[in-house]
Amino acid sequence: MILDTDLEVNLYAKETVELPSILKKLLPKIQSVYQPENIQDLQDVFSYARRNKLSIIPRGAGTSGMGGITPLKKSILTDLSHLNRILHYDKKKKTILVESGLRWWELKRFLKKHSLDLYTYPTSLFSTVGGWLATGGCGVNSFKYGHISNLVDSIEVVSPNKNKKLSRENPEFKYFVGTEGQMGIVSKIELKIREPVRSKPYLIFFNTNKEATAFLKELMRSTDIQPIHIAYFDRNRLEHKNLLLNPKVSFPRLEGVLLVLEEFSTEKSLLNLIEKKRGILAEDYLTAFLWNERFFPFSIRRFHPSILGSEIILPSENLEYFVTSTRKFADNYGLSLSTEATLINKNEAVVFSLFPSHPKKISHFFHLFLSYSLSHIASKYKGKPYGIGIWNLPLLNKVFSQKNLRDYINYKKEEDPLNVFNPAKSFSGDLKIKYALRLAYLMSTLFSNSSSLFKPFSKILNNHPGKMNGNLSAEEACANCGACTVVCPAYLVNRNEIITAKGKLLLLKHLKFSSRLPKVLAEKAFLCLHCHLCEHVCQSKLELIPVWEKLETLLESKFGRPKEKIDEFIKLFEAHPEYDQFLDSFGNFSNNDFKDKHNV
Amino acid sequence: MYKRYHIDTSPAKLASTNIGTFRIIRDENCLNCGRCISLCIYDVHERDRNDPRKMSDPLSPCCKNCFSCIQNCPQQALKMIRNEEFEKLGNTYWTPQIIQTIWNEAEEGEIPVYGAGYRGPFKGTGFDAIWTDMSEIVRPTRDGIHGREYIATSVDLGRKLPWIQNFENLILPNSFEIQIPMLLDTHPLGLNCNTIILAILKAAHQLGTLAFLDIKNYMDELKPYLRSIALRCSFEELSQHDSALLKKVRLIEIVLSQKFSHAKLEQTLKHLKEHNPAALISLGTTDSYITEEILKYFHEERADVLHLYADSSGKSFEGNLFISDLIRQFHVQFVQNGNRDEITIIGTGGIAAAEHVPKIIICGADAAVLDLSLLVAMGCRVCKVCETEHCPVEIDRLEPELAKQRIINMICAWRDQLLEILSAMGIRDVRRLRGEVGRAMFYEEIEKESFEFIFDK
Repeated sequence: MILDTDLEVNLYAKETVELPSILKKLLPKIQSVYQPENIQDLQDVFSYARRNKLSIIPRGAGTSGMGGITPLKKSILTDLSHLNRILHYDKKKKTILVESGLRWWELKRFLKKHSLDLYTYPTSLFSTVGGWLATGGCGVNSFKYGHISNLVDSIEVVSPNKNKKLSRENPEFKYFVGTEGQMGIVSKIELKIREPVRSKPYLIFFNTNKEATAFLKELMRSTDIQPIHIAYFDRNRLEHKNLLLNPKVSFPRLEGVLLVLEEFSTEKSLLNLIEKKRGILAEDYLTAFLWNERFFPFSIRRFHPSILGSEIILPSENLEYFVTSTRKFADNYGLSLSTEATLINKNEAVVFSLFPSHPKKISHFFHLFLSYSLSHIASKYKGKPYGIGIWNLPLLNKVFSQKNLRDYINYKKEEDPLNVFNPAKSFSGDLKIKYALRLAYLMSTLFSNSSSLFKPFSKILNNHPGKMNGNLSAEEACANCGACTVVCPAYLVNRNEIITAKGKLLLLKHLKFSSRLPKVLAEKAFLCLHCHLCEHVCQSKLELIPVWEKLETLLESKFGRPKEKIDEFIKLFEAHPEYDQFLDSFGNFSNNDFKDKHNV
Repeated sequence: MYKRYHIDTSPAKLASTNIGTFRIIRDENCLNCGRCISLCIYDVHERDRNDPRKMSDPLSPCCKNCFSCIQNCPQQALKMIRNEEFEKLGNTYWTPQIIQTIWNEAEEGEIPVYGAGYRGPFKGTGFDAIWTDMSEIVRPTRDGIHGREYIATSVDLGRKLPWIQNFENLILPNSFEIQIPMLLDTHPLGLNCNTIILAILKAAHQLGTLAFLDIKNYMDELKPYLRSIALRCSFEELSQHDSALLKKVRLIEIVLSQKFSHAKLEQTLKHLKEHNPAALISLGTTDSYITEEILKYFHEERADVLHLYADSSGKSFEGNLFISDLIRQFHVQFVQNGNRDEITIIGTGGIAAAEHVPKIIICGADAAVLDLSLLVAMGCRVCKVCETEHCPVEIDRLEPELAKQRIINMICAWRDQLLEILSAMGIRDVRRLRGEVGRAMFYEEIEKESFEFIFDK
């Protein structure tokens, strides 16, 4: 399928963190979105791109937020989410072979049905398997089981005129991990799986971040307690979560550590350690809520039109200092900064520092610099970016050593001599952009030092703290996380994100500024069952059904009601071979229990 | 040409009877996925006509409680609750279930099906204390009740000759055949409403049976149906009316009041014989005891039909007997006296369901008279107030054709069920069922047999 209307292209190219519209206009355009259904389709798009001198940007679910799919050359966005078949699974060997466009949520659902489970999975459960391998790779349970690449047995890579299968031991394997599709397209992935294991989350509160980090240090030293997942939430992060909770059952203003055990025999030593380190065990419902929130990292997006920040891999011993200094920094500029850290091994943690902003305000521009400053502060504490994308291009040397970088660049030249795959990013630099970003980064370092030169700025920013009063409209509050796509019955049949909640919200946003809209797209907005599933999974917890009704009346007045299209749609999905299975698959997801849990 | 008796049914829907046993409720978390539509074979679930993406409200009255939609809903969004409106129907005898069954029968004319099986008590009072024998239950499945093997449902009203004494000079007694062992009463609950009378009478006419009509309610409109009228009157009314009417009807009933004078009855009977010697004479009584003097009228061929009345719940007006017991008592008495064939016994009151007809016949009646059930077929809810002005379903304003069709549908369904029972008993003629107590079990008798030796000592 090829999608080439502006709106569809914008939708597929949209990322969690959006560029300011001025910058967007300066960047090259995406010509169209191409959705391959099989390997042959991929080869077709390669040759098409070569003929038309276009480049190819592979896209999973578009949830990374680092600018990985931002075009720096005129390109075709290749949406791989239709390559989502489960090809084979071996219950004995405990492996599963999937196509890379499969979403983790779907994979987890499939495994659950066969009483199997994943070792690790990303917090954005609605991203794709290939997408996670090509970007971050650290998520839930990474503390014990490590980076996703440790759990991949082999991958299959497609590049023009050739396919190759690489096992983990193959020296070329590493060139496809975390490289954002610059070397070729990963089409199939063979993953290790396991039988489900019972686990239990514990949430422990501490008075200060010093105490919390001291507890973490002790925990690292301990040999008998073996958690599978450890996360640290600073008091601001918990405070943000309180916005979603009833005030009577909110988190206290304390630092929190969430850890998950699979070996219950070690529970006793854990409790001892908590007591020794003066931790307070949280109530069960708060623990359960926070544990459930792991899938909704951007749930505060509902209250803020934009969330900025940085994702950094930091030595865990420096976590305390980093938090202290970023807090001071945030206070200077009036930011409501919150920090969450997930430990990925005994020495390192992925730290998410987030603060709300408003893209319509002047302060937003400075906020973009400030988010850079956070990375700069991190680098002082030996931190390095978690992903590169475009934002972190200036920090490339923090991630790769000179030698390593040369290796990657050489491999890229060898494998992709025409520079078709996701060009002008880390391994095939475009000097103009690189220097522009470098300059911006250098500017931001000045901010982070809070030199007297920027004092006036800090004053201005303090007056515009970027906080919002009241709730945002739905189209502004959409976090673009893609949860709504996997549960959408209309998407099951139509396979175009424009008919999912996320797509329709963009459509609504578009209608605010322009009345021009292709009729085909207007008709698509009516293909909705009003099933409420998008509401159930929405991490911004938007009330969407009234929005659809509003949108439909608006479109009906302009384009009329596509009665025949609707009838055809109803027939189509009722006859869809996977429809029944699809309906049964989220029994737990949207029943009342789930709702209650969310509204504690 | 031989033509098999057949009742023509056609669907006759009535909006006021759309009261389901349960109510299906669609919760807000419904996905509008449409699975319930494909599962429901009773068309309870449909998509909204104006917006097919959404589901319309469930049509609870169509629901047969199979729970298929409830069990298979992917979101558990459907639930079933008791319908209060349904539970308010009727009274302890005319239970909501009975009323609804009649409504369903009247709508389609088909044998009712209870989706989730019979979960009621094993035994009750009245007709529910009688169990019919179905030992040859395999029979109807072989060929169907309307199959090759014809089962007769016609019965004779009037006397039968015990034997023929003289072939040369054969005098046949007064008698005629009605096609079903059911007569109708045009004045259920004593309602005198022209539309109701007309509907019931027309139905009786079409079914080939009789309908009782109070003489005071006769109107010229009813003339085409004279042959289907069983004229009911008291002594006084008889003398007041012109004899032209009396000459044309086939059955005349004299209602015996509490203390009537035999002299007057003698005189009346004589008067009737003179005007219409062919008509059957019925004596209607609410008594549970019959004197020798009354029996004499039957013996002397001056009366043919004994019509026993009970109230709408089957209780006799005197003696607190149930209609089936009352009839059984007379039947046994006449058999013992050797004069059973001189008297046709019919009973009114409490006939509320299809199986009550064979049960009352087993107890010894020749035919049953339907009264309130006809009204229910027309949509009556057996509420307490019964005045046409205050009727919640405005029964008097019902279109007579629709009302007639509903009655015919109900009687067709009842006859079909009678055929089922006869066929399951291996009986080919309903006349053979009369007094066949061997084809039934009576709870009281079984109880007595089983426990007598303990309690009677």
